[in-house]
Order: sequence, then structure tokens, then C-alpha cells
Amino acid sequence: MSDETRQILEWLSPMAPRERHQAVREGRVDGVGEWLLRTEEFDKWHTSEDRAVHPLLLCYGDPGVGKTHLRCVKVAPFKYWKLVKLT
Amino acid sequence: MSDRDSVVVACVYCDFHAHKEQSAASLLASLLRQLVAGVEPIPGEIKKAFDRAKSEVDGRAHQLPEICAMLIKSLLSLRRGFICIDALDEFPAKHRPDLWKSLQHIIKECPNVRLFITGRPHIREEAKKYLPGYPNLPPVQPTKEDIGGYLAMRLKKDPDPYLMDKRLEADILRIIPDKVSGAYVKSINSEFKVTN
Repeated sequence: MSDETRQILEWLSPMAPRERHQAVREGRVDGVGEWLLRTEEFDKWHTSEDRAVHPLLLCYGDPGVGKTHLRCVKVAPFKYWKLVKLT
Repeated sequence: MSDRDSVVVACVYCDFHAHKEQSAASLLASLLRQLVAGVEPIPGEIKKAFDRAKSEVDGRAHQLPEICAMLIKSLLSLRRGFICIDALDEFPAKHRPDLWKSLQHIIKECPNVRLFITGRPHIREEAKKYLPGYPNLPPVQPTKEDIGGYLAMRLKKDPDPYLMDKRLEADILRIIPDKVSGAYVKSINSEFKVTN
């Protein structure tokens, strides 16, 4: 990555979601929250590219119930890993 | 920039403790950063905006319409984009209308985008106002299996496992998952922090 690209990215956002994301992933127990992935609502939202499908999936709950550890994709796409590495 | 086969996930985690730095523009800019991080060269309009900001003495803050437009352009170049916003209730209330309106705009312009938002129950009222008609899900609650898996993982990480009474360990794994509730999980977490 060139210096200028690095500066532009830093200018866009000094926030570092990668660190937080890493911490969330490491603290996550395999299989937690899998119930969501098995719901019809999730399946439609995740799989269908139809414009008629509502684009929002809202997961709500009290503090400490594990919302942060829910997965929003069934399989992490390739570019996702690339992003996690670079951001 | 064109990456029509790409499926990209971009996430932000809102935090009560970072209120000063959080605005609708900064949140969207964080998403945009994730979208363009792997792209070389950086899209022209983003570089131009950077050059403009650099030429100004005080390096002005991001302008919401400008960031929103750049984000839409980047999202449209993908096959699919998943935007995840965790703990939206922790994002400053005074900036949330701006953020919701921006998300409304993004959704309208980008049919290839899906939004995944988590938050405390009261956030539903705002979601209904700005993006009505979203699917109804039950509230997030840890399942018995989730609690069992979590406890097993924490017990495995015990730095002094020889101090653990085997009967107590079995009781923990048997009784606690049965008495599961959100508040209970919180108390388990703090209890483990103390003992570990």
C-alpha cells in the first residue's frame, strides 16, 4: 500500500473496527447465535437478491445477551478476509 | 472501481465511550474506508475529496452528503454489500436521525445492499419510523446450548484448573444453562472476570 493510500484511508477514518472485530471473533464461541442463521427471515434477507426483500435485519435484545456475537453472513466472503487484513 | 463479483461485509461497532468522535459522517466514512481499503488505486473522487480537505488549513470534518455519495458509488460497484452496525443504541441519539436518513438514502440507491443492525429493544421504534416493514424477529436471547458452550470454553481457559472441584464443574455445566437469561449471562461474565 502506498503512503498516499495509507494517508487517504487514515483521513477517511481513524476508527479501527478491525481491532474490535478481531476481539469479537476471538471471544466468540463456535455455534453461538446459530439459531438466527436457521430462521426463514435471515435466510431470505441473506440469500435473496430480490429487491422486494426488505434490506434491514434488526436484532434486538437486552444488554449482555450476545447481540454483538451474532453472525450476519453464513460464510465469510473472500474479500471480507482481505478487508479485515488491510483495514 | 468495479468489482462486480465482490461480496463485501463492512462493520462498525458503536460505543458509548466514543460519543465525541461519532457522527453520521464518521460512521459512514468508517464503512467507506473498509470498502476501499483493498482497492488500488483509490477511487478518484475519494482522492479529490482528500486533496481538497488537505488544502484547507483546519482540515475540515467530513461532509455527510459527500461521504454518503462516495459510499453509494463504492457500494454500487459491488455485487453485494453487507453493512453491519452493532449497538446502534450506543450511537449518539442526537446524530441518529441523520444516520437513519443516510441509511434510507443508501438503501434506496443501492438495491444490492443489506443492513444488519443490532441494538437494545427501544431501537425498534426508530427502525419502524425510518425503515418500516422490516421482518419481525424474536428478541435475541442466549439458548441453553449457547450458555453451555460459553461456560465450557471459559472453564477450559481456567489458568488454575487443578483448583476446580470436578463436582462443582459438573454442577456449573448442568445448572447454569438451565437458568438462562440475559441478566444471568451478565452476572456470569462478571463473576468469571473476578475469579480469573
